Amino acid sequence: MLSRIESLLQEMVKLPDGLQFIVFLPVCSASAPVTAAPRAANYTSIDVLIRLHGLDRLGNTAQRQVEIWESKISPIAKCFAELDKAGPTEPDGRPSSLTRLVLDVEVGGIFYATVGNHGCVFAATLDQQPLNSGLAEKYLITAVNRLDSLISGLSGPVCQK
Amino acid sequence: MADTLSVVQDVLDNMVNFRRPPIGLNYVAYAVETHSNSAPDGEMKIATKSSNKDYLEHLLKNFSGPSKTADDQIELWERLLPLVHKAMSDLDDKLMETGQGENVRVVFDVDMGGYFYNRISRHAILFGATVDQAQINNGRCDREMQQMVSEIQAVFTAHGA
Repeated sequence: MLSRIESLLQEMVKLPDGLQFIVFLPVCSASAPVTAAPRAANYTSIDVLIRLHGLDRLGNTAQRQVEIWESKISPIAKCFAELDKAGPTEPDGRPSSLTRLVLDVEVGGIFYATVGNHGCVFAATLDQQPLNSGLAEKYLITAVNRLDSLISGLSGPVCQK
Repeated sequence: MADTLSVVQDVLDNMVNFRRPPIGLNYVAYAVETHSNSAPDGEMKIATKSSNKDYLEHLLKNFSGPSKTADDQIELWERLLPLVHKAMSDLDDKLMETGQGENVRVVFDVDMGGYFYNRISRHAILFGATVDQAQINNGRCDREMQQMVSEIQAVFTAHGA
């Protein structure tokens, strides 16, 4: 199961002009370290954009950029949970249910979304163009839908024991 | 400032109130940060807003569950606005380390509709909301928000504010 999730994530970061880093955080391993979660990164593409934006002058490398993104998962997840809780009830009276958060920052974007009841996805890119065109969001929704179908349709543990 | 605000009001009305349905956003507010003795860190105050209450009432009737008026729904959104602003300001500090700058545009996709938070300047934001999920999925609300942001920025440039 885990290898199939990782293959899917690998496929997503290889799509042109899209997400450069993506992690699936299974709900069953919420307390596990983020580094243990299935993930994929397009290091070549990250490296190109680091140099393009001059982040290399700050000492950033593709590996370091991925580590920085990993360190931001927890605060973003916390913010997501707080806003989900604070949101008004849905028009049909059910509690608010935040499903997707898109942070369009000055350079690229950061995403956080729920994958059904299975967990969440964190994704990021340094590329502004797919944010402006909506392609990055489209890829995020595709990743979420495909992960949901994959996990719902297969038996076997998502979390390693 | 009063003149400038009345032009901003026109921008909001032209997008949300004066259009024939179907429209994307049901509500939009231009809010500015104010500082006072009771709120030295700044508090978001709605400077001007617009909504299409008739169409919002019509959409709300499509949902099952306890009945909610357009005014009820708008009140809930207005309670959410300062919480979203605070959460985004807190997140800004944490995201600086990614080298990607501050949040410029944030999309909150909930089960039934969504909210939009677009920064116009360091102390002014545009907050929009809809209960119409289809208008989130087709990107219309996002485009409406971005168009209003551009127009408001042009207003402030022209008025030298």
